[in-house]
Amino acid sequence: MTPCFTGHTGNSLSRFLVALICAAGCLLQPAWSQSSVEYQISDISHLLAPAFLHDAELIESNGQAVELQQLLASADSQPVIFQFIFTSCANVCPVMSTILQAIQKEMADQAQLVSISIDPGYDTSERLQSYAERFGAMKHWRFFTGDTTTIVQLQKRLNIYQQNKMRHQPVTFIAVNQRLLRIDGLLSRQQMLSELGRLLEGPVY
Amino acid sequence: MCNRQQALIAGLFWCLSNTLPGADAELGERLYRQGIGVDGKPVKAIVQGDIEVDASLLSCASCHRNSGYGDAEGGEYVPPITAEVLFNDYTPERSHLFRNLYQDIQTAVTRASVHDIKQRRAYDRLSLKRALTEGIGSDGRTLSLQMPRFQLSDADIDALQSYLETLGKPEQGALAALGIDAETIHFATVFIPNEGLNDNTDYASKKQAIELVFSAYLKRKNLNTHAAQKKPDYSLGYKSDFVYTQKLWQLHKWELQGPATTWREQLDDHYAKQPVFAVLGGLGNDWHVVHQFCETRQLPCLFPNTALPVTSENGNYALYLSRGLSGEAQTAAEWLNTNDQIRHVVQLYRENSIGEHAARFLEAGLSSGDFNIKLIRVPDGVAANQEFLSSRLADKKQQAIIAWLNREDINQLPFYKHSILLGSASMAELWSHHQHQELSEPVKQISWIWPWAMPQQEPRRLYRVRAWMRSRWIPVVHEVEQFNTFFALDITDHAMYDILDRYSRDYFIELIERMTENSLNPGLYSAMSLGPGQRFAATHNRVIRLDNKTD
Repeated sequence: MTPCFTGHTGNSLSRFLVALICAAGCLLQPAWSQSSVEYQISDISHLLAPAFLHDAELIESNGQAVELQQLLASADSQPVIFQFIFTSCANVCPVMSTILQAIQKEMADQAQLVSISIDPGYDTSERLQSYAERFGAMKHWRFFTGDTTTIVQLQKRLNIYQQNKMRHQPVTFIAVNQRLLRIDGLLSRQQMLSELGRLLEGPVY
Repeated sequence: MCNRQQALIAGLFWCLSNTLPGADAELGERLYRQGIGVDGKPVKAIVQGDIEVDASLLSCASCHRNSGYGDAEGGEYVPPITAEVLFNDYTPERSHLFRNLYQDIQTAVTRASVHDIKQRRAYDRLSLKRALTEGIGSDGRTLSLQMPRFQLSDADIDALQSYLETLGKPEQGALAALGIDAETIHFATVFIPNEGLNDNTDYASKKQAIELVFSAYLKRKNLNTHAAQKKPDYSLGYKSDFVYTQKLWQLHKWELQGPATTWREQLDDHYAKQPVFAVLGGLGNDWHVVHQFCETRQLPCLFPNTALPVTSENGNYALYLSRGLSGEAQTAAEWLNTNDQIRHVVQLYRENSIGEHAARFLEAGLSSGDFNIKLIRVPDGVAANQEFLSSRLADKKQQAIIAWLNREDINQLPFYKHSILLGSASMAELWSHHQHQELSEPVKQISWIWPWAMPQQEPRRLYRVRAWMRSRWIPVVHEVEQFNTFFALDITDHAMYDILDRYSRDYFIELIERMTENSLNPGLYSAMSLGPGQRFAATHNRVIRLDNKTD
């Protein structure tokens, strides 16, 4: 919570004003407050340059090969929100996926949700499908795996690669209108929706 | 009676009256591990402040793990919640810091969380309820929003508390049953001779080579332990505080005899004579009995040299290097399925457990495809040469020959260009580059199912492990088995540094899961990796030709 000034403030009016400011501060809950979620947004649109991300071939959980370029192409009309997860991940990935689960209804017909496995050796199509079922994924939430080399290269290009997958960080990417944003950290549902809203309104970052 | 005493008695009475006597710890365990409430329904929870989830997706165990010792996945430090930690006052002691600072590599965020020393009262029922349902710790702090706020009934909390009170390291008297004495920690390894096969000389030689690695590793390990114990104050760092947790390692060699039906009894007898903390490495073809033994006893069994691990994936305590023949058969099936030209598959296999299992695995893997499958068994003592094969093998088009043979068969095999795919799990020695230099040119043109690192592209640690062996005068005659044994010992060594005196087998398994992808790969496989519930470290088989050409 916001630290509030509690020293002697002279008259009752000033005490009232201080109390009002404190109350407002406490209600707003700034990012460093213990009871709010911390995250960091960076604009990495320069990575959308041709041939930097586009030549990655992913395999969808139904076995179909899909070029990342194809996936990002739909970002011209609606946001593509993508995360890197692995199905045996116990701690961070389920929370990352619950964020997508929480917004998928609002995002139907408005955004593509994408989860890409960073553990292609283990995450077969069947495992991805079962993971999708656990989270009740709707049609516009798609799951991908791929060749190990491709997946590692993609992570390196997005600067999220960890040599040990157990150390992978919670990062969400949003691509829309030739822009690419990176969100480090775990968001609440409301935060994710408001960030998406701000992004669609215009260049804020 | 003063007010303070009255308050204490009232508090005690409240606690007794509010904890259901005989609350079911088993239901608590189910809630802890699966997120299922006492009423049999998934518990609801709020995570990240406003996201409703089923606790079956985010149970206590998914973050704090089955052991209760917590985790540091993704940079998010999840503290231990064992009975010892939860139900005792937590004071800023440097020994706490050390326990939380894993030897495993940590992110800056994790390190910062760990160094944020906390002080709090022991949890009681009331503060536990507050933590679980409102996310307020016993020190009044708001817990991370990643920790779900659970919607729990009083019965749920009672059951969970009953379970949490049992969670963690065993009482001192129970350590002997885990293979831990005052000064020694006991490990075992299992050897299973290849009864009835003609390659028992190979078995004896491999066993001896493996034993040399065990002996050299334990000698060094125990010398270091002795040295540390002689000078317990040798360093100002935290390690010297924990010298008392270092124990001598003792290895018990369990060599099974006779038919497989008697193996389980033999293993039980060995275990009754001396319980062990874990089974490390080992050698044998059929690992099913050992697997069942490990699972029943909840005994970690790490990385045996076997071509036939149990691949049903139900295991918690048996960890394997790879899926062995089952994985190779799967690779062969995928290769055949993607090759539209092939309609006829001939499986050529030796009449032994390796050949027969492999042929059966592939037959099952191809059952959904439209293939004509022919099986040719090569009996013991008969060479798989031109003479044997010519009468049995029609030179058809659209044909692939999949061969599951012994090392000795390879140079006698008539050459069928473009059509032979050999499995190599039973020919481990072939992985080494200098070995396939000796192969004839036609044989090099055969396609191989290759579970190893690509020739001459092995991870660099290979050279360090080789040097480790050479510097200890260990003849490196069975590189694969010896390197795998070294890996089992090395990763156990690293995990034991983290365990200190928290002797939990679940925690041991969780540490191994986390450490396997670190730089401990001795170089045989291009990559090794485990994770929660993953039981096969190397998953990637390739189809290659040893002349580096493609068809």
